[in-house]
Amino acid sequence: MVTENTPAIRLSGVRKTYGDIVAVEHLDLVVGRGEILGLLGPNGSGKSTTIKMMMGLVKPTEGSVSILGMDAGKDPIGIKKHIGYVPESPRIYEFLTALEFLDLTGDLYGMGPEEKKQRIQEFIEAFGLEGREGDIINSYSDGMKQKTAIISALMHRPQLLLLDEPLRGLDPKSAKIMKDLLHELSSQGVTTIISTHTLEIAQAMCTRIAIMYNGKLLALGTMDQLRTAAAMPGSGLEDIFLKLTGTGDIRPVVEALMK
Amino acid sequence: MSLSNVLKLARVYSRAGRLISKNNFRKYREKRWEVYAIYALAVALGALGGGGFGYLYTITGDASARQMLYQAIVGFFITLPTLSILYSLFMTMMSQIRQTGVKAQIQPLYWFPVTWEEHTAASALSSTFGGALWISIMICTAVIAVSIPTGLLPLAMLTVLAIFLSMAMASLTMEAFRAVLAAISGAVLKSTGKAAVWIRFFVAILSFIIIYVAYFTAYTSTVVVIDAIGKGQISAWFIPYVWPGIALYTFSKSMWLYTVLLAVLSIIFAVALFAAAVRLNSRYGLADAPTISVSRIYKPNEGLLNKLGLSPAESAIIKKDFRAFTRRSELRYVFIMPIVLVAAVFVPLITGNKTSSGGLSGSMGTFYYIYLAILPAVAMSMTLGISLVGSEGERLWFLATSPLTVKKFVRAKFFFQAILCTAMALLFGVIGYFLLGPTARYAATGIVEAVILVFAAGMVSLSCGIAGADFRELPRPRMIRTEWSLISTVLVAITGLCVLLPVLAYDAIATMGLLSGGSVNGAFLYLAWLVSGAIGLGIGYIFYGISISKASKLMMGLE
Repeated sequence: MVTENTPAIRLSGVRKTYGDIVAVEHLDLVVGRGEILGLLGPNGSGKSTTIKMMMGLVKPTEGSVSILGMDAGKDPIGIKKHIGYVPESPRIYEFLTALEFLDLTGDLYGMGPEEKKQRIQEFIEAFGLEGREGDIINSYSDGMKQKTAIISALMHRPQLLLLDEPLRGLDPKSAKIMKDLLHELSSQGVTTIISTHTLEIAQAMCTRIAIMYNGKLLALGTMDQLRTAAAMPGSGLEDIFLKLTGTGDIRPVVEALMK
Repeated sequence: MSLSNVLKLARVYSRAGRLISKNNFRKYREKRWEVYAIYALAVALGALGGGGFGYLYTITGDASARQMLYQAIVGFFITLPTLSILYSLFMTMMSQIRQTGVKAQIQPLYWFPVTWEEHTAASALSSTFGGALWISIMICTAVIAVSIPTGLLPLAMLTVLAIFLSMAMASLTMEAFRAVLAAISGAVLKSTGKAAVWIRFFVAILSFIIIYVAYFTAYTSTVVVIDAIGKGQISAWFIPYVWPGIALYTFSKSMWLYTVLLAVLSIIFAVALFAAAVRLNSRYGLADAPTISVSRIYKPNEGLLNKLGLSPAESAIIKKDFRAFTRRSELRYVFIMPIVLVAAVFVPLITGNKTSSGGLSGSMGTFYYIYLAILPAVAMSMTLGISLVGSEGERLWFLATSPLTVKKFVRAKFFFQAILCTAMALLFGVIGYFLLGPTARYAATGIVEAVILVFAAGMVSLSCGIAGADFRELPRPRMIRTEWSLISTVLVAITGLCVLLPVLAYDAIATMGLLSGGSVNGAFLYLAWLVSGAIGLGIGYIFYGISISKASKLMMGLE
């Protein structure tokens, strides 16, 4: 029975291996409705695999993944209808115009013509793409491509947002709109998972932070909880992250490079 | 202009040119001996050919025969510079076409301290590497080898120089031509909006028709071309490209002043070509993403596809694929196959092989009609089928993360190729009917069988396209693994045979009946259509199931 109190995401004992390589090791994670969770970790720590398991794109070797109360393995199409996804690099159909691409998105997510039209126009104006929406995406800057990918993820009113480096390439105004939008959506019960390497963004935007390392969940909690776990009162997320992931001692590396 | 920079850049550009033909672009490591072995082979072949001809000359005892051979060799030397311009132009043009689908950037890196002169010289130099250089080295070695026993060494040395000068002229011309094309297409694409999409589509088809017609014409009359060059280049003295050849002619006739004058003029012309190429490159050389403005008015509508019973998601993907195939330059090759199939048969047919009345005889006309109605559409269906899924490339994540069922995904891909290829079958069927004049029964049979085959072969090739999809996009989109392309060809051929079998059987029985003075009830032809349709449907259904299964695995295995 799915209720408003059902967590948006529940990962129970999830393990994913590729042959001998363990990508994710016994991950337990519960994310509530309206939360903005920052998923942090060095390259190869298992963040992307975790997100793909949430999308139903990768089947876990062990454990279960439940999204909005639905089993990700059993009903991936049903789940996808409620998810908005922005990949790390916006590999979108560059031979389409932004309007055509968003029209395609609307059709795939089953939006009605009027709603589709209205939502596209609202987002195009909000992200400052008006005047260029009829141009081929190939001619866009990276930031404009990113905006198009974000609009595509948001336009169908998803209940869960999975965003991989969502602010990359955005101009300050669009980045601010995006941040405010995520907070507003959060207050309406939309859950957001942000995977990012920009720790300032995670610290400023996220209600909780999850730090992964070598496929394991090292720490999970609010900033205060993380400071306590790392025994670093008053520290910023960068120092906590470096300490927890054991990558903090970078001075010798810098000194070697300066020689 | 730094020669060192030119040589370094030329090495980079030629290496990039070689890389695009390799399968594993990222892990590809070049073995230097392999690169140069081909040129060593050209030297060996040239020496063998030239030496052999020289030996033939020395063992010829008859004086008049020796004189004839001598004249033939001199005449051949004189044609070589002009001939080398022709094959260099062709080779560099083919190399340019090959690079149109390359995603990896092979263009000047504008932030490097490289002048446009250096870039142009390097680019022109690198475009001669490969086929054109291979042929030239082989010819030059043969020329030197044959000149020693014949006593033509001075003329041979000049011929070699003239060949390389002509090659330079050809590659510089192509360099300038490429910049002009970039300028024109850029201007067209930037200014004509929605029409640009269609202009690009039709220009692509037209270009390939012209190239292939030219290719087949040249292929069937190479001797005529060489003969024409020998006879024609003197009378075409006003064309600078033939000046090296005429210089050789004047040298052979001991007209020294003319030789010097034409040699100097040839060099001046090559320098002028270089200057023009540099100027054009500096103006238009940098690749700039065209800004095509398709529509500023947003009009969501139901559309014809929805009315045909397709779901909004399916018709959205069909529309997207149609746009892809009219806008993505690397997908143009899909349209080549039917054009080649038509050109390969009909160009020689038009140039010869006609009856005395100028038309095709009855049975020949029927054969060519069936060929025209069936083969181009089925070939396109097969090419589309194997490339439709792979052409998604790195963007497959979008469909994989969309709430799109695998069935809808497969159906959308299938109906896209089915709609396009059925239209093509009907078009070629109607054109063939008016051109070749088959009987109404044969005309209808051709179209019916073509449509059945489009559906059956399309489903077969689509399942191969899903099973063997190759999403690598660098250096150029692969779309399908080679082994699956071959498997698809074999399976489509078997499908074709199975589907056509009832009609072929009917035709054989009818022919035998006619020969023995009897006749076969015409209704059996309609029965043959029905059996064909049932076979096509059965094959299509089996491969539809396979496609669904393969596509499910593909989506789930997306890493």
